[in-house]
Amino acid sequence: MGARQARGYIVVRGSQRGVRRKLSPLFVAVSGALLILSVSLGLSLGSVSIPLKDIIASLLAGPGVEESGTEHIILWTLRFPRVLLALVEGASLGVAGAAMQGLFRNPMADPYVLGVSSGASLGAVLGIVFGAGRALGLWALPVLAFAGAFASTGIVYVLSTKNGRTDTWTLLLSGIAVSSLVSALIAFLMVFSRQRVEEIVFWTMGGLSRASWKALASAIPYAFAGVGVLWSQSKALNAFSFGEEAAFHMGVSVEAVKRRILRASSLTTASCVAFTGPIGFIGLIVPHVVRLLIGPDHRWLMPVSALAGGIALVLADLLARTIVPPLEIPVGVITSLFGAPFFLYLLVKVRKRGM
Amino acid sequence: MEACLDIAVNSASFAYGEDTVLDNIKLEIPKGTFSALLGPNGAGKSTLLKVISGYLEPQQGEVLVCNKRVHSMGDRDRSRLITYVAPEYRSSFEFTVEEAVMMGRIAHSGSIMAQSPLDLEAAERAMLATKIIHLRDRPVTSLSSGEQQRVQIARAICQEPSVLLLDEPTAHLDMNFELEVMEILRQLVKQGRTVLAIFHDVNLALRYASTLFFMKQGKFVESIHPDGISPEIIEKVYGVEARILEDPAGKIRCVVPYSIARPPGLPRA
Repeated sequence: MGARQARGYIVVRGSQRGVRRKLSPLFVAVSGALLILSVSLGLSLGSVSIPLKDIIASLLAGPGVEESGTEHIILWTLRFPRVLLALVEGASLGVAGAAMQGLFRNPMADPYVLGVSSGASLGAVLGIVFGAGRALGLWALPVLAFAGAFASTGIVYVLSTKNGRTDTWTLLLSGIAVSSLVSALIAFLMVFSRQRVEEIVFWTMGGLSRASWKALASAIPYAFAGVGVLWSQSKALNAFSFGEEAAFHMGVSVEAVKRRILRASSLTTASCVAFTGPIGFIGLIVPHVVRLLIGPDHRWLMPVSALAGGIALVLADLLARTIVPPLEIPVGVITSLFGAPFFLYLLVKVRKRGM
Repeated sequence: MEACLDIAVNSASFAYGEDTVLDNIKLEIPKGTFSALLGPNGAGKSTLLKVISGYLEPQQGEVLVCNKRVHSMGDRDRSRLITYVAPEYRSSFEFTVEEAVMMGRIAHSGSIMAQSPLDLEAAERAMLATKIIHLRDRPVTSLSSGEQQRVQIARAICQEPSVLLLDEPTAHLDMNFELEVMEILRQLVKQGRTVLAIFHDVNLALRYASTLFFMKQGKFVESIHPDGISPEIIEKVYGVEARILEDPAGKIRCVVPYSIARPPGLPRA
């Protein structure tokens, strides 16, 4: 049992006979502290350092105060929306990743397997190449990216569905095929618009520099609705672990559950990616780490993945802004740079433990 | 009206594309009985179980479980009446044995987080009946195939259906576990449940089942009481010459295969 406590949950055998898995108080306390710490650091550090007491004062004063200092303006126009968007997006990617890995019964799955990220990139690249920004203003790229994400996942979904049944293997394979087709189109467009290449590359590597209150306000409804729907399918996803046929015999409405999960996950991911570009690795690695810590039960896996994803993206964005001061590194570079070695370390450690 | 029928298959036919796998199958199984489904590989046994379970829909005919059309029921309602266990169900994630058994309650409990005392008790009983209670905290991925098989049977028991369908419940099991699984199934039948299971071992079926259904090429060729077993039936179904031996001490009857029967028309070597 000692080993289990170290894994972040404890087995409670209470007055009732039987077992419940519960998060250990230590795990909850550490996660809460990490959340507060990462958000505080994210708000405080940057091109201008703002002490914690000024952040609290500014928060209490509210957004609309005039004649206030630059720190106040930096906080309310830049850092609050940016850190909040990082939290929301990291949480969404963590939950969508957990749902995709559960649905495909495959640890390699992530929120982008159905072509969300490449579709969004194509939409944005079209906007950049044809100068849609000048015609439609600030909203052009997000709207095009969202449409692109939706179109490519829609194609993947339709290709894999026959007589109301969606085949998960076909989904996975057509997702890969459509993604590489779309990537080829992006490369093709880049060849013909050399002067825009830097802008394109920057967009497709993902970053939170485009965060704003408006971006946050339009991402939040999708994120909350999507995460809620995904969480509501937890028990069905648990049953999917034994295969779709076994889940059917446990009373799960297999096709309806798949449809719900695919839609909710695509919508949530598309709404995130539309503003920030595709941010890699969070949706792949976070559910893995959380599964190692608290076990595979999706009822717990999803909320904890939301928390961990949020924390991870806030910290990654903080590093992206501060690691090479005047420059901002695309956050996707940071998530891979730090995420990949951490992931490898965990893999090696778990294999040594003999599991 | 005498004993109600738990399973009624009315002239069901099923084909994968052009290949007819089940040809006009008629089957009636009364409540609270233990039936065995036997026959050579490829006879359509597994397909028949999947059709009865509701997973595959026959192109013709219908299946009634407890007098309800199984293919027009909702997934949850159906799963409280009937469930199916196959040896190939393996988890891709490290759920504990108890969590896997509790999945049998999906068809019963409504809310996402709640586990009622009723659910916990059903899981406890199922783990006790299948003798896996000492494994309750072990990850299912670390179990032997015999143990995993018992976890799936426990999940099915925890689901508390009237009808249990099992595809080779004794596959991969050693002699000891084999008898243990058969005793578990016998207990379930004593409690009034209906069990229909596929076996490769005719002798096990003879000892435990009350009716043996023999299938060949998508059709029933014989349905007998265990006492009715004869070398002719074995030859007809499997194409094997066999003798039936009787254990001098008890009532165990045993089929001993001798040789592959001559295909008709070929002279003896």
